[in-house]
Amino acid sequence: MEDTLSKIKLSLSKMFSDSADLTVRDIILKSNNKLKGAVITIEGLCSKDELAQSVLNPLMMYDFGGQTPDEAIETIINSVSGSCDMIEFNSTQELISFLTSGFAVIVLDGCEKMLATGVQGYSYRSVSEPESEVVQRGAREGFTEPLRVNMSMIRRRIKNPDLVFEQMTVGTESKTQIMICYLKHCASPLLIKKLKKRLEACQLPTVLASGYLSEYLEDKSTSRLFSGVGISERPDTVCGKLTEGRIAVIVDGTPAVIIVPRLFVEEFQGVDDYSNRSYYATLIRLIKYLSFFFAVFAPALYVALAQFHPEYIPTWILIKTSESLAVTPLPVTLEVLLITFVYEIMKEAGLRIPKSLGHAVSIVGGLVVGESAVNAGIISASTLMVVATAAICSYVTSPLYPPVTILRVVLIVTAGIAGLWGIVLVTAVTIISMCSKSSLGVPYMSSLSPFSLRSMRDVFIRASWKKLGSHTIRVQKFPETEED
Amino acid sequence: MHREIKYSSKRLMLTLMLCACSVILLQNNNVSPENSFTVNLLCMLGGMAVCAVMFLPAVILKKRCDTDFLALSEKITPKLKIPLASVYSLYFVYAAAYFLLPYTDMFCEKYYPGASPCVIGLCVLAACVYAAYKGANIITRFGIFLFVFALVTNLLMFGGSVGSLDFANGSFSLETDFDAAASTFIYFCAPSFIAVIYACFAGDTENFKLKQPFLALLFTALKYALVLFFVTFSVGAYAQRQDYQTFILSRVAHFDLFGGIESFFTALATMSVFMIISMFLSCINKCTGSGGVKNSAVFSVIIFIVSFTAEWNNSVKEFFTNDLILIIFTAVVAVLIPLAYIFTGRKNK
Repeated sequence: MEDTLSKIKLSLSKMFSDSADLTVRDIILKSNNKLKGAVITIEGLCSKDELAQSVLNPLMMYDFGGQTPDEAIETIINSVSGSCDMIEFNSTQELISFLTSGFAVIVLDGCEKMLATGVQGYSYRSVSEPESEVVQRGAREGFTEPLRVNMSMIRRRIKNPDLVFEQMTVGTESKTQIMICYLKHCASPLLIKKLKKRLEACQLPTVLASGYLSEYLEDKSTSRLFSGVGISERPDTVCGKLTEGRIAVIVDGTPAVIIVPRLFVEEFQGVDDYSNRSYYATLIRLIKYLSFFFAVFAPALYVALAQFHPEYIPTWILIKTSESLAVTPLPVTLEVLLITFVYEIMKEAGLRIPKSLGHAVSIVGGLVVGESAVNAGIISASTLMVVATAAICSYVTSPLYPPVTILRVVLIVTAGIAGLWGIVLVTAVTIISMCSKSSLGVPYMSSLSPFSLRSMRDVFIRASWKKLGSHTIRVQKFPETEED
Repeated sequence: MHREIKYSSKRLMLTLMLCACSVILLQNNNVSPENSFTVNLLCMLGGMAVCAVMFLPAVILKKRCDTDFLALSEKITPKLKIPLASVYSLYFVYAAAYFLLPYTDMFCEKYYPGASPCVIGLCVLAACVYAAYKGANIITRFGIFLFVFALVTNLLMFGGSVGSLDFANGSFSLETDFDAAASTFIYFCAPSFIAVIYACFAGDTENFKLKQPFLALLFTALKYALVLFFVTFSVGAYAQRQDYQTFILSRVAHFDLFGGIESFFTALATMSVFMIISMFLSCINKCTGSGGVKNSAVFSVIIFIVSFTAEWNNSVKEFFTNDLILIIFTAVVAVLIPLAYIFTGRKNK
């Protein structure tokens, strides 16, 4: 019993391989029997001021009299430490977990119990507006990296005891903390059970971002083109989804919060829709749907019409299009594909390039690749215009960008081979694939197919708040949701 | 395969209605130009009445036992499962070829001359295998999208033909040539194939109401009547001199400078044929009790071989596009066999 302190210190130094950031501060408590102890921390994960104020100073000052180590531990919890989080434990696994989470651990010689005190204090990015989800009217707050900060942002918005956070650990190596968050009276227990089962099945060694878990949350044997897992960096969006019965998964170290189930129609709904007037929100929503169709189909339709059915193009456009197409050396399909790929390359480069160079690159991209190529007769102006407009349209519904890009390329190739008929056939197969998809058992195309008239008030149109607020539709109530 | 759960009976009916409506999209001189519009309309109504009769056994089973014929037969005569599955599979192969052949013909003759019917058929069948693998529930979900597209196409087609309406193009007289009327009547019985599909999937649906099949037939009849009306009075003699009259109707429809509605029409026909054949393959999957892609693939190869042979041998083609054979076969699988089971079940009680 007497050697517990040295045993723990030895096992820790072995486990951490004498890592430089493992800090052990030996102390001798003011008592009749000179109680020995140590405060163990990991440097950089806890606040030194907090540690000194709420742990070290009180420990050194307090007179423990003739208390045994076990009695001293109780006294520390009840009368000495000023820390809010005081957790008693005795296993090495827990010791590692607390240390790596930024807790300070108090160990007394001769006592098997240990005390973890919450003195976390590490540097992290401050709360700021997420760049990918900018809104006109609405909170300027976005999630940040630490799990607890993100939890507090949700809790501040839903002041309801029904809001539940359940902790889990994923990643056999990284031991990443995640929080399953839901509103008890809104979320379906079956969906929660299903989600937990899938998270438990995740045997990845490291989980560094939400995207690592997304694939594990997708329903088996359904199409992977569209994602059945939503991601948001906005606490207001997550809170809105929670009230509809959805479940959020917050992953420590990333601002992107997972929301499941995710439906197709949600991709067209934005936070601003609910802040704006309903008629304007409806117009914006219709524009979003049109943009989606334009982004997917416009280049393919252009190829099909130019190559197979020029008779459908009005004469005045046909003359101009034919003139510009006639001087380009490439067939129209290749031309469209080429510009699409060049655009994708420029987009990737633009994302990774230093900001100071971004302006120069956009000039080179716009002027050299665009205008010069048209002037040189390598590509036609009409083709460039169609592809560029489709590319812009694809950003209107940015979460759909990956499937839209893939579909666009597939459709261009099909249109080049089989014209409009090819587009029709690929579209039919894609719709079948989308209709067969489900997200946590809820049909992905819910509201549209299976059709739900009541939900239509927030699909193509955004009904007034009086109507929307009168009855919230829970996600598990959509028709044909799988029960088990 | 996608897990089958109970789905809306209304949606199945909507899908079946779209399947039935597509029959007239592929019509190639099946409606006799020798008869007046009124006679053709009466023939069509007669055909719809026959379709309603074909629906009765499946509807009785659904209403009384909330089941479909396939489930009932498996329960009463498990030993006859293989012979029954063979008969029904044969029917579905025949019906699939019945739709695929005129579709590929129309496509290669009217819309895209020079295309190979075999290649077109193969591509459509490949897509159908995928859809059938997903199951009838998913195909009915696709039906909702097709319904919207069909609505737009029909509005364009009929709206674009209003300007060319001329009542001098046809007549309303009741004088008729009996043989021509009989052939038109038989042609309009063809949509009764939807009763067989219904007999296969009725048990998987919920919220069935008696009016649903009759409403589906009513809307089908309305669509047929509109097509007949516009083909007779809008395109008139021009259509009568050419094949695929409904296609011609879509070709001549226009709004001032905006034309090209035949592309919408062909897209609608393609998606309808895709949906019908996918439904047939799903029915085969259900009959044979197999949900895998293998089964659908094997039967689609058979359908392809049939279509391929029909392209080279005219008598084979005539056999597979014969309205009368389809109706007799439909009557056997939709009425005779189920009725035999219903009566046997009663006697056993």
